[in-house]
Amino acid sequence: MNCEEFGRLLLEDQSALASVDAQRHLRECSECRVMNEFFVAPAVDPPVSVMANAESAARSALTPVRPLAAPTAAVAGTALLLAGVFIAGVWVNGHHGWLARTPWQRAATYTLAGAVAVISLSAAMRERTPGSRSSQVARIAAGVFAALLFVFPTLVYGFHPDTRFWSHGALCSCDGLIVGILAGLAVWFAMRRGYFVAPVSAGWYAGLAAGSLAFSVQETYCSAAEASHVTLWHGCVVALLALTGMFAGWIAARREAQMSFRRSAGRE
Amino acid sequence: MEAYQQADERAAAELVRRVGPSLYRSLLAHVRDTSIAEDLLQDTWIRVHKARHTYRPPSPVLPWLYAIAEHTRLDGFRRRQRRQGRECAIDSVAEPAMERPDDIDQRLTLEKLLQALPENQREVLVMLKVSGLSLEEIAQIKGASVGAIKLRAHRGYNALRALLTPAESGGKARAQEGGAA
Repeated sequence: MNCEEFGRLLLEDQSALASVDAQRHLRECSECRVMNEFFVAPAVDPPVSVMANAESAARSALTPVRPLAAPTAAVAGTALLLAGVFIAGVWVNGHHGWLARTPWQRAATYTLAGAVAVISLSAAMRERTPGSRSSQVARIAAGVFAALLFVFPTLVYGFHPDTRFWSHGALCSCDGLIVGILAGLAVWFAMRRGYFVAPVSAGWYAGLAAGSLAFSVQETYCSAAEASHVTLWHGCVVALLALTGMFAGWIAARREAQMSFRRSAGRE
Repeated sequence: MEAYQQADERAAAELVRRVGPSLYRSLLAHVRDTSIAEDLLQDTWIRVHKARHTYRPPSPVLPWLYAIAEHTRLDGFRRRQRRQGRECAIDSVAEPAMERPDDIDQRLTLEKLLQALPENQREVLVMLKVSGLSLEEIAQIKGASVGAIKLRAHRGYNALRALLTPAESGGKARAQEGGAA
């Protein structure tokens, strides 16, 4: 056995350190002996008073609690709520956009917005439970699909000059924002019981989910099938809601930190 | 943990007794100050108590608990930074230089040597060896793959070994190599 193999055992499988090979290597190699002693050094225990305080904190006002729903169930429930918001949005604003678009444009729009909504919603629901954050792949996927929302209009829609670009666009965005805020409230309702170790990230996902729903509602009611209009006025709703979600997460994090500071000051 | 969620006081006390010491060691290895570690431990348990409904049986308890502890530690770090009036983003904090401590022969303390490692390697070694978590549990806490955690652990181990072993055997060179990696 060489030093590298010994190191692997020390890190990954300490039970194998009792083997004859490992013990022989330990006798022969002074460096590995130092490392071995280092890792099996006697543990430092917290003072009894600190453990007693921790115990009383864990036992204070102890009442039965209902565990959070599984992320899949939470995603399904929230998707139902969001479907309700979508139907309400289309019912109030109409479906002129659906009629004005070709089947290919509809397919591209709803597939992309749906993908962003599903990915970000599942990531947001995972954020509710400490220690179960989304994988790196899911985080990258959410970012890539969200970025595609801003790119795809230039690919599927043409550029046509519009004399009412600013006035019509601002109104379109306002309607989209109203739908997005309702969707955001629905997502918040589903997430409210969670404990967020990364509130800003959770807010970003929640905002993205709400924004993608607002985007698809805008695509359904807005008859302006034009690249610059969709990119700016529909895309800005997604961006605004994602930023609002991040900001809300930041506020929540500050609040938690302040409460923790007060607790700490109280102990001092 | 399930009994704790059902308001069983004995289960709460048992959980604190079982996990408290390793949590404390993990916090102490990061902050290197017993009074801060004690404060953080207590704050962690207050948060665990508040967030106990977010644990979903039968998933492992330790990743859930350590995620809360790490969050508490980071909050504490930010709070201390603000208090000291030297606020700066965590990303911009420079990694500690990979230099061999001068008094290594006199004080071979785990905490001191671990501070010489880059943050991501130190975290993994602390969780693995000080707190006794498995590679899978650490991967779950850090949101990384088991392979990535294993790699960080081995790099940290090599850097630590270079710090612990005599300089004549090329320890410093290997430490720098580990830090660069």
